[in-house]
Amino acid sequence: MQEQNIIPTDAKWASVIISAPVKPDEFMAVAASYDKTLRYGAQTPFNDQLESHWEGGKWEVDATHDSIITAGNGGDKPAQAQVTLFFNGGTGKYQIEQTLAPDQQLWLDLGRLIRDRVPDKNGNTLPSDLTSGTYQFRDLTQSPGSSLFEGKVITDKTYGHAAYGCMICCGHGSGFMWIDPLGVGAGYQQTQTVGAIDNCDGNPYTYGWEYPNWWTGNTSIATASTQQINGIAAGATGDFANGRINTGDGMTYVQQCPMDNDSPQGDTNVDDFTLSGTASTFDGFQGNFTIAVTGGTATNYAWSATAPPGAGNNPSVTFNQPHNASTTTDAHWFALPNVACGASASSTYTITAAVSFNDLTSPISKSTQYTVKLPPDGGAVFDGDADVAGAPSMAPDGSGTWRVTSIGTLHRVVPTNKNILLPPSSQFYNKIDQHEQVHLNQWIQGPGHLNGDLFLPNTYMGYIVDLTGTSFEDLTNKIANAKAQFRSDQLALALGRTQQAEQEAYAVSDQIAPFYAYQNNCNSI
Amino acid sequence: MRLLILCLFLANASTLFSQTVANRKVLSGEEVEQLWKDQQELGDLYKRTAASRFVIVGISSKTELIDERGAQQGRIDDNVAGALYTVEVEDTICKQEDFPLETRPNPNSVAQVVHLFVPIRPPVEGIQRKESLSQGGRYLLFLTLPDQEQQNTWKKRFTLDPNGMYYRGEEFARGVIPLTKPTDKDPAPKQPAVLDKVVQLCQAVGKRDRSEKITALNLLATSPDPILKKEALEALRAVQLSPE
Repeated sequence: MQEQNIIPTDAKWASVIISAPVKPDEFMAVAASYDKTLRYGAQTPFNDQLESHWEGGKWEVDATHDSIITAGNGGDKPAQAQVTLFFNGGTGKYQIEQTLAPDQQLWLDLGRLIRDRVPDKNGNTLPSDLTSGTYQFRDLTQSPGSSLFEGKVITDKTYGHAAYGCMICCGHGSGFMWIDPLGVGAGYQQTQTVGAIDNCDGNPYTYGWEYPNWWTGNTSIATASTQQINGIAAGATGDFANGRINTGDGMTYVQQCPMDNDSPQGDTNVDDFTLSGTASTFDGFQGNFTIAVTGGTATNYAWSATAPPGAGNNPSVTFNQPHNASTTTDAHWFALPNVACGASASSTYTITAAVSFNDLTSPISKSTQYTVKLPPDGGAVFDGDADVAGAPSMAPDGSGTWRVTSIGTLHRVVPTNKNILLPPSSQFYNKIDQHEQVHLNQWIQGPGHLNGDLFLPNTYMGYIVDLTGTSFEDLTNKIANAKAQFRSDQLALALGRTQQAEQEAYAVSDQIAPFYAYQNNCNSI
Repeated sequence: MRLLILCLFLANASTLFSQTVANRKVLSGEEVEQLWKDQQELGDLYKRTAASRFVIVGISSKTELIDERGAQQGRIDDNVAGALYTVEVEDTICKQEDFPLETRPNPNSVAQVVHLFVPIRPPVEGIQRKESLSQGGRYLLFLTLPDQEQQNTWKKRFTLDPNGMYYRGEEFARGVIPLTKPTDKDPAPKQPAVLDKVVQLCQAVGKRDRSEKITALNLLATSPDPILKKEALEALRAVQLSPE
């Protein structure tokens, strides 16, 4: 065929595939190669077995022997072939890996490897006095379907003998889910694979790549993709795979590793929890956060909080029960941007709950937002609490006309209550408290106090001393009206002093930390 | 003798003023103060009750400061527009629909919580002071419900719940009467006299059947208590004038 240029004349090897419409074992193909004299030749049967794991017998190299080992890719995708030579009773190992395109083969002349001291993939060489060993082929590609075929020829120069050496097609037993039961968090993925017992060495290996079809029993709980289970929602279901695998017995040199259908199955448990808590509160108050486990068995709880980059004023969240399913927190406003004036009144943390489960190797996490706000106002002293209380003495004169006769029990009442919006645990409490204390002090009677001259009984007497009534009731009604006028006039005076009142109060509170938000020079936060 | 005379002023002041002070030469400040206090609490009882949407006993559970909407932020106390008091209702003594002139069913007759909003401005409203409640304090409250226009104005201007309903005291501070809180040592402390009187009046007025109501008020009108007698007669007149 080379002479007729059907095959290139320089071709040194080829993969040959022969097919015929016959039943198994009815057709036998043999490849034979002879020299030009047709005196010397060798024959080898065609290999009809593709496998991902082959175990070979003895190879020999010495003055009269040489061994040639081949492995080819009989699949339709590239294969990563690994050849391992074992020697010195299995203590020595020499490995070569090569990517084989479909129909490509690798060719190892062991005598040459020894003589030329050719290093393997790890830099090891075969001992120069090495004469024999065993070998193994593996397909490392991990894709569905086996692809390697093998061949070995030992030549004996003594009598011109060439012996074909059969390998054992190992195959493996029925598959089982490698992780069973498998735990996965809702919204998370977990790698799954299929394990099976290698029929040559009796050890379990993973063969998930040989199973192209994956599914679960309930897609509302979990879904599956190739070698991966995806948690959807809390619950329990099954995970399944299906593929065609080589099931040789690992003992017979005759290549019998038939492709059998295999469908391993296992259990999947999806772990999940819900996270709820305080969405928003004011500085100094308290937050509450709760984890409710909806699937699986929790073994640990961990809480953490983060603030946006650039946040100032020492952002932090203290979890009072850091390893419990429910925890309370403090509420600490942070400044973003980190400027005294102009930071947002709302500071939002991200609260993260991480829950460990007994069937997961790492915790699953969920987050929620936690906003700590500052109110536009921090507090207030109500000037309207100021008054003149009590009553004057009253009596009818000789004509029966009722008059105010003296100041009686009239006395000054001033605001005494500081209404502070934020609780004592607020970082701004002292600042606001001191500010409002200045306002209270402004009502102390006497000079040096801004409103010390307001709501004086004597001033009030000026409004009522000349009132007269035809009766006690008549005079009472007139006094009530005069009182309203008096209060209106006095509060108007206080209102006119608001700017000065605030300047005095801010002069004190501006010196008290935190120096954010409630500073006199802040027009807005 | 003076104390005895003062006790008589527990009756309606407009009546008692003339009776009590007719022969007096001078009323001291203390005497005037007591008369005014009694008048403040006990005077016009029927009128005040009828003008109230509810008369309740309740505990002031929360005090909040309310701001102007869109107020300049970052001020410690410049933006406060008023105080909002939350009151947990212990007992509803009177409902406005019990009175003959009120025919509308009250959708909130079983309210468990009521809110009083007391705006700072105007600083003076009428001759009465503004309402003020201490957190945790127990009160007899005569509550009026400002009209829808006023409610809407407040909700638009101030940081109040748009779905809330905000009351005022009837005649402002006059509608807020502090009560004594029961304690373990004194589970039934002596309360201001107005409490018992308003309870009796409301029990009579609250009869659903007209004839039962008239009978109850007639009975109350025979009371030796001059205040109850006067208020019962006033209630009777209102019932008799109302259509059957």
